[in-house]
Amino acid sequence: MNEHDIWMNRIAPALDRRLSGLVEKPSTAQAVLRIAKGEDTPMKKKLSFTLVLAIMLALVLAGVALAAGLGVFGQFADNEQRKQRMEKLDTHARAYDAQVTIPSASPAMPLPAEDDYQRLVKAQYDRAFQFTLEQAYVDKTSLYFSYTLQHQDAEPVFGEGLPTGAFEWQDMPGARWADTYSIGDGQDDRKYAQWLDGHEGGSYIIHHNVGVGDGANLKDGTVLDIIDGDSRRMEDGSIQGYMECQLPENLPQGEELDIQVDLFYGSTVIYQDKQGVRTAYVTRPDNRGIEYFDFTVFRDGTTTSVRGRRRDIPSPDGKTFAEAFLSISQVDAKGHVRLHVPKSWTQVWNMLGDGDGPKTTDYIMDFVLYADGTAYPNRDGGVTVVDDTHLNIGLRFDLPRDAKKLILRPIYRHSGEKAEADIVLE
Amino acid sequence: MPVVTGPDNHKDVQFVRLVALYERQLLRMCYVYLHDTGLAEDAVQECFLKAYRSMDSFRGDSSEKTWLMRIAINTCKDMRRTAWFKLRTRSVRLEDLPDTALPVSPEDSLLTLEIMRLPQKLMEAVLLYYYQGMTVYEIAELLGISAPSVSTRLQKARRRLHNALKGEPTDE
Repeated sequence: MNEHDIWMNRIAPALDRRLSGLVEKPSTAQAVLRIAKGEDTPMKKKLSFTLVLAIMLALVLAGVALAAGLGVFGQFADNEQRKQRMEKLDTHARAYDAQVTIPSASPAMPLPAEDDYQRLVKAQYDRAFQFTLEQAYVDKTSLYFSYTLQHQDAEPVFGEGLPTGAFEWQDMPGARWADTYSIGDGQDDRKYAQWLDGHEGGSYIIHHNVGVGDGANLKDGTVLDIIDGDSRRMEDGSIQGYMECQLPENLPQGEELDIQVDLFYGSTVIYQDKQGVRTAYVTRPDNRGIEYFDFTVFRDGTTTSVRGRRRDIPSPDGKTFAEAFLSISQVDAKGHVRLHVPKSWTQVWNMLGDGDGPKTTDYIMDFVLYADGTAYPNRDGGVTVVDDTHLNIGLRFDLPRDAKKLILRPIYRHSGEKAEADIVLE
Repeated sequence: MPVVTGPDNHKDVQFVRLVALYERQLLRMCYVYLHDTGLAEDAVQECFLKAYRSMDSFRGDSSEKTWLMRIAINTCKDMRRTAWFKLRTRSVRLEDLPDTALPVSPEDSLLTLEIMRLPQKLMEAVLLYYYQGMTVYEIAELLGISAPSVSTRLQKARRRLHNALKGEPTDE
């Protein structure tokens, strides 16, 4: 049975068992028919309270002081997993400082502004954004870019009473915004809680949201999946972030890359009174709160490809064969090892959880890179079972670019590193 | 005795058949997509409403299932594009899952959670391929991408799921 069959036989049954409590309602067809024929209006369910609170809290981000002298990539060199990569990106990425402004717009037809909802919808057209492509680096396998997003309406609006109009409210009876106060997300949380709790007759906050969508697209519509990314809200209300996106393997050669990034925006309304909390989300009806930015970046990251083979990798059924591919850019080294292995190894990887396999199987579970004798841990390590006798292990290393001798050393499940199975990369 | 009235024309009959055939799968798929039972029920209602309204213009140039799944995925995407869901995705927990009607193993719960935690594009591919049983080409047509892109997303998803189930860090 190959990997495809294994996952096919695993995912659907697991989802159906775990979600067996979600079943159809006998009344659905008739309910929809009534709505379609104008005999009823759509019924919106309540959003679960914990879901809304988690979302609301996540919307209020703490600002981060900008470290002097660093580009946006460098601002994210704050944890071991990405520190070196971000620092190298800061050094080698091209600075673009390319700005795109989305000005405020006029609706196609005059919009009414007779209640709070209508005014908030109309206000979406008044919103303007400035997206700055700060830095970008493109090597053979990845597009990295950093950005700053500025928007005029960074500050929330505080009001009293229930906002009027056709808001699609999600109700949380008995809830209080301040009940989440103990999580301690920072100043904005405290301000929100103080405002909402300080008005027994009811009060609301309008929080204007904006963010950059995951990944990017090429101009021809090819999706560039996000591999990594992060963003932060700055003290001035702007948002800084970065993304790493996967380039397709068959991308034609060229000096430039045309990319498209998307922006989404809207406004969240939080209302609280003695009865509980209500929330609603408002976007521009014509574009659903989505804008697109187009950029051209240079494919000027340099990449060196190295590879290596080893035919006598120790394994329980005799020797096994390994072939390694590594692309080394100015940022990091990425690639994979393709292993021809005994079936007992693929069986282990096909089982859920490490260690569920036969305890005596001493299989290769990862690789460490030695560059001029210095060890670099694998920051990827993802394993793909290609078929019964082939595995791919993903590789990602921090790397000093000018290392003279590169060796991949396998790490076995029980016996650890084995120097006698080193793969020399050339 | 209450009078039970049935659908009064051919279109309605077909629609009732459509709902009977797909509602359960859609509800579960929308739950995985949106992480909330109430929203999933809303999405299913919205999906079937859109389907009913566009039944007359459906030309059969794709399979009925592809057509309906396209409506469902787009409905879920619309709901999920708000900032709420972009940020919510990272905090789904075991205790947030709905009650079950069948016995489940810890592995079922874990796998369900990890699928829900996948990036949206990978999750779509997993749900359409492994749960809805669609082919790579049907999924490519539905999502408006190439077949190799679908295969790549499935491969990435399998790798992420495998790593996550092993307890290894995954790429964010």
